[in-house]
Amino acid sequence: MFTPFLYGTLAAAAVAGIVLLAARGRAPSAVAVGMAYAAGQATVFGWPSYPIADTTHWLFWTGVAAAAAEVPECAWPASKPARWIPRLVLPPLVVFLSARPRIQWAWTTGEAVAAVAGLGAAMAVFSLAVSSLERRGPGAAFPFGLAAAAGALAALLAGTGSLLLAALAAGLAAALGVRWAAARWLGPGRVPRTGALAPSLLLGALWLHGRLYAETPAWTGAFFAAAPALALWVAWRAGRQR
Amino acid sequence: MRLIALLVLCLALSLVALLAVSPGVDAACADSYKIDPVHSIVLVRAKHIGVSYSYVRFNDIAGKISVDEADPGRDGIEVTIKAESVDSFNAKRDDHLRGPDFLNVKQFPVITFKSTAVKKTGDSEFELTGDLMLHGVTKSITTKLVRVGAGKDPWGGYRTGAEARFTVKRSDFGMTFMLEGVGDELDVIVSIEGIKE
Repeated sequence: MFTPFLYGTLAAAAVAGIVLLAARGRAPSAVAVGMAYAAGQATVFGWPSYPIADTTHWLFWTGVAAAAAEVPECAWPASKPARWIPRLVLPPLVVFLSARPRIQWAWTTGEAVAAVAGLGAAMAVFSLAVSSLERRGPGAAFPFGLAAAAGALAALLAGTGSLLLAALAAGLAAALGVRWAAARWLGPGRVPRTGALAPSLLLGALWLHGRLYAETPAWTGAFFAAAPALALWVAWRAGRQR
Repeated sequence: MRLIALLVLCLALSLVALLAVSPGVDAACADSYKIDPVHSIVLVRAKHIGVSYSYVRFNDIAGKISVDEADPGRDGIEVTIKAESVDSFNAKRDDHLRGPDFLNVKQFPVITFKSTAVKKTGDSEFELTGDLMLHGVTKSITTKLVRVGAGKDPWGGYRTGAEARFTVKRSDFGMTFMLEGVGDELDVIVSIEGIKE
């Protein structure tokens, strides 16, 4: 029962460590997290099939796509399109792909449009808030906070009907834990900060899978409001200090 | 003249009517049965951590059987099972089986089987080949089918029944999680009874 957790977290941690050490500041840490998550998922659930029948396989590609989308931001940190376009395009796409069976089998067109637009917007706000926290937050505290959030999500998913999703979230927690350890060990300056998109999208998509396909209660989504609230608080404090 | 025209018209209409109601070859020879869900069962067993067998059944079965006594090659079976109706005799385990770890019923609400070929191999034995769709993956399977019997029921109807036993690997259908805890091989018994339509 615990073997998938063990192998998944080990694979994710190993890939995150190898990529971070090999890149040594030259690649965004989103690449490490995205690749590590994908490796963990492949270990736990196998490589994604084609065509994709089970939407869980879209989580693999979410990690890969979010990691790839953050490379331009690392290359051109001042570019607004590089920062904004992936954060506005990917969330509704991830929601649509995750919810496709519900759209097909259970929802009316109106419900589907409302769900994709509403959840996509919520995920975009969450992702922007996490990015904002990353820019303003101090060094290693940010990856630690994300790793703790992923660990909490793993516990939530395990308790609400899906050990598979819990094992995937545990893999994400392991990847983020390695990123935190690398930031502490190598120094925050050696681990590039860009890397909020992959974890924020994966956290949202994993929770959404638990909500749509397992027994995860809707009210647990309220915890995602913590990031925007924290981002607003940090911005307000920064404004007062100026 | 009018009488002749009327007769010709009547004849033409009669011919059209006769052609319309004449059944095709299939309909003329094959009897159609509707699956009786009360007297049909799909039972599945899988190894639990390699030490024992756990059994589940599906409670919502529907479908049709087509029996052609003269040409068994034209026989056919279509079965649709609601995945949500899985019953492992434990409510908490049922919820787990319905979730993403196993059947993922909100993504894959039905399990279907549709025969593609039937070959008579004995007095009441057949080799049945068909497409099994489970967990969103369709695979062709071949199994032995035994026709248990056929006859009148006490309510004036006519029934037939058959049973098939086969083994599939759940990993072949994309259910790859927890293979060490719940065995990969699923031994399936499908016992169906049909009421003649």
